Amino acid sequence: MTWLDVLRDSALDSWNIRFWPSCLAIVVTFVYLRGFRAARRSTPERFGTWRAWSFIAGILVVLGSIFSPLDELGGYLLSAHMIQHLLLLGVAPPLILLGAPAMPLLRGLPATIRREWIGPFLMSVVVRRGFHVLVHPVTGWIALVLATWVWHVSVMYELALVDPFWHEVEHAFFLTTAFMFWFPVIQPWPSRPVWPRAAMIPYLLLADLQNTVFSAFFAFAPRVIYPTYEQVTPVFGLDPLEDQALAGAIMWVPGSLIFIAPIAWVIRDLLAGRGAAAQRARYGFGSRTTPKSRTITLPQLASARPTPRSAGPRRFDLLKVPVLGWLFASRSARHGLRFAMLGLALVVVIDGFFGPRTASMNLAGVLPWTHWRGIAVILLLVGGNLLCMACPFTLPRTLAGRFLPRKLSFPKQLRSKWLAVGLLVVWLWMYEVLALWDSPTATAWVIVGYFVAAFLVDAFFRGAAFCKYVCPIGQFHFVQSMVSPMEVTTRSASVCATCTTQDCIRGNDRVEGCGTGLFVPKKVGNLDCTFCLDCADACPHDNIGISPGPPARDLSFPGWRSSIGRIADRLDVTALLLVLVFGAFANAMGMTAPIIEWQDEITQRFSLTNYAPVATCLLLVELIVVPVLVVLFLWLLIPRLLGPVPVGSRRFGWLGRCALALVPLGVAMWIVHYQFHFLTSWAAIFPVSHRALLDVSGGSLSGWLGDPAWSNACCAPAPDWLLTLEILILNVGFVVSWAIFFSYARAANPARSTLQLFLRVAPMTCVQFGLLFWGFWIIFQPMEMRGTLLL
Amino acid sequence: MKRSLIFSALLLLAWCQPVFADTGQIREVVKANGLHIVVFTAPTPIRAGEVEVVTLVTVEATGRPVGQYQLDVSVRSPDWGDDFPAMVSMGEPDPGTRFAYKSVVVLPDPGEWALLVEIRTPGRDSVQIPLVVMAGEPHPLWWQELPLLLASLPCLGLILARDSLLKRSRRGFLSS
Repeated sequence: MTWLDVLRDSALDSWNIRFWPSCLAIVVTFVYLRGFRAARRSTPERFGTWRAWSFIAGILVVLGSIFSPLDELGGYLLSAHMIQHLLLLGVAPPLILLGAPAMPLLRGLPATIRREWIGPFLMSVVVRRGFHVLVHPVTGWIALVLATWVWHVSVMYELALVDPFWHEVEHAFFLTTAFMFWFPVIQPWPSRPVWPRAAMIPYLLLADLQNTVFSAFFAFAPRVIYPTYEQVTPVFGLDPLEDQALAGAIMWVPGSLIFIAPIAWVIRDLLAGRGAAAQRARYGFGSRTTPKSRTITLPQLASARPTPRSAGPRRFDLLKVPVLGWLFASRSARHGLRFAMLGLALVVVIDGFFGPRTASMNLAGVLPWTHWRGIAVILLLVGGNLLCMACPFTLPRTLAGRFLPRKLSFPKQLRSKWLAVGLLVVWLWMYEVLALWDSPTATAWVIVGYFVAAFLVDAFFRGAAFCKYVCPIGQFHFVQSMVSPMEVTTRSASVCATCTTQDCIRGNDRVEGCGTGLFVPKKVGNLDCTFCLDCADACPHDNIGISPGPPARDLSFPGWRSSIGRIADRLDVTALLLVLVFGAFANAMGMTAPIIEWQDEITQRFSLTNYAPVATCLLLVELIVVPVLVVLFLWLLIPRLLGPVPVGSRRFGWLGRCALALVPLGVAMWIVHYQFHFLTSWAAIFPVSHRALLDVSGGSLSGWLGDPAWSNACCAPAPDWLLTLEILILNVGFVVSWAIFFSYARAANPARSTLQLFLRVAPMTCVQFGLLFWGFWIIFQPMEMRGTLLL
Repeated sequence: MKRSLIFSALLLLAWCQPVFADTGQIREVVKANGLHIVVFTAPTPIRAGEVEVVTLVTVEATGRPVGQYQLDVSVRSPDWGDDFPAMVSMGEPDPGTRFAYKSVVVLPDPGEWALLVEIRTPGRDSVQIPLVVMAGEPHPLWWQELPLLLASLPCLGLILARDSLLKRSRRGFLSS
């Protein structure tokens, strides 16, 4: 094999594209391009297209240097490693900085994040001073030189060679210090130079000088500096000493070019009159004059309030999106969606009753429990309660509305969430004890029962009583979608202010008003909103859409809202939230191997015929005992530490706020659990549908279709990145949960210092940490997705 | 009312009497020598370490489960030479089920493994079912992921820093 063959094989085989750096690069580039578009619209002279290309090229160089065969070859050849370092130190950072990334990255972020989370830091004098110190030419120069020399000391270099973690730390150091070094050279807008432009010539020359010394050290060293390269197989016929000399040459010649070429650029700037005078005019450098009037500083941009344009009609409206918008806005299309779901439900029921008893071979064991749940949690997070919009169980209501009087009001005593809470507990109990996920017949019965219950309730009672007060699945959707930024809302408040008919809630000849009694102009969040869009159909002004607000705003607003009242004061809603939060952990824990083994052990020890009593006891502890203890703990401590709530019930106000704040943790656990099943078992749909087709055809298609690929029936190996994703999702849930409760605490204690407040929210922090670590424990267990036989 | 509730609860408990067999992922469904054999593996996804291989054998004509048979599972790596002996593990009745047999094999490393499931029933020829499984990395210990597990702590620090900055600027945390 020639070295050319080795090079080719290495190039083809050694691409190591890693998931998380790729995700980060995609997100950063997306945010940059989004902001760049906006910045170019307002100041096209500053943001030429070449800047965007430069930024993208810089990102690609970073990715190329860490994903490409260079990374692999770096373990065999010092010269390859040096090329990688040169790319990270001298090519990628200047390219990225030439893209003037600060303003586009800031403008590309959602306004709330920019204003509420970035703004305070950019406005802080301490942070700004710290940043100025970091990008000062002296700091940048020293940092780059130190990073280069220190990481090439034999001990440090060997550490990075043998340990991938330290290799990544090394790269992070190189990138950071290179950004610091190149910042004063590129001086990306809107930063201002602290030294005259001409000073960049000695700055770069000195850097080149140290690079020359550094390169010469490698080029002329009489022995191999890094012992690892003596032990590995030589590649391309280079012995270690030759390779070391080549590395020195690479650093010397291309490395010097990286420092010398910008000097030419600086001289060109100076000769073209873009030196000190131009700087004074542009930045006010060296004078007391203010910057040009069109210059906006980052703190100003970050803290800017929304302009009247964005405060008026919202910019994004799902109902205005091509195709999707029509699908959701059209009443017939929505009915079509429901009928399609009804068709699927019928298929599941038929297969559940007449198909094989093994869950992973039956559509009733796969479609509802793997696919529907996995897609549901993501849709609820991203799009709001879109699933209730397509709910087939609303069709009985439509049917009942046509043929039955539906004059009764739902009993006053039941007009709360208590019935739904009870049914939800029963649902979770049935899931565990009857192993619904494992029994196609039971799944089919549940679906049939659901249709019957929906028909019976909606046949007699007005509005959407079943959805609002009874449906456990609906309550799950309501609560999960509280985290979503998307909600049904008015397009313009001024139109509603002049509306006299209020058809959205009262209805008209064509359409009933909101079945759950929500008045859209006064509605907040997604609780009780089924996204049926009856309100949008009824609105004569076409003033209702589905638009995003700040994520989790629904949970940080404890005040009055239409049809619900003060959410934090309602004990039934608090109970609902807590059942769904603790239910998330209980439900996921029931699938872990240690719990299954423990249940089997107890069942055998007490000679029980099945594990139902053990599972019932465990669920009672998880869903009733633990939440009650947590509630008592918080109820006793939080009001004493944080004082009375600013508005609402003094007795239960804090409890409701605690429950609201815990919702993101529960949502995170549901997502982690259901995504695990979906991502490892989505392919199950193929053999199961295949089998169903063969059954329907009576085997006549078997010659054409062959046998189902049962190896796909359940559970492909979990991708490497899944555990990391699960940990991140739980962490995000925890941080959002903590931030929401801290905001409640701050609203009640505006005068307390940050440290005092931090200490006073400690009981809630303990509960949140408890749930977080419960979740961590669950995801580190082998999660069993076992196709169980019902014999 | 109470009686009817108790009666309903008893009915529900009675309804969940059927035996549940916790058997794992279906790997192979084979019809041979008049038998219908389903092979399961657990846990799913398979990782290096202990792996359960469970078989359920029924008579094809009648659908009745075969109560007694012998199950042997041998494990080989495709990298092993032909003269290298396979690891063989005998099966025994699975206590969690009525009719299934379970054999626990050990996959020492992540990667591809060839399993040979052999079933011997009285009065019939033995049936051999080859399987290829891909074992993932063993579950990482929690401390290996410690930096990621603690990633939320710097975020809490940022929230506190933001609160402190906002308080100093007298805007108040929820001013917006």
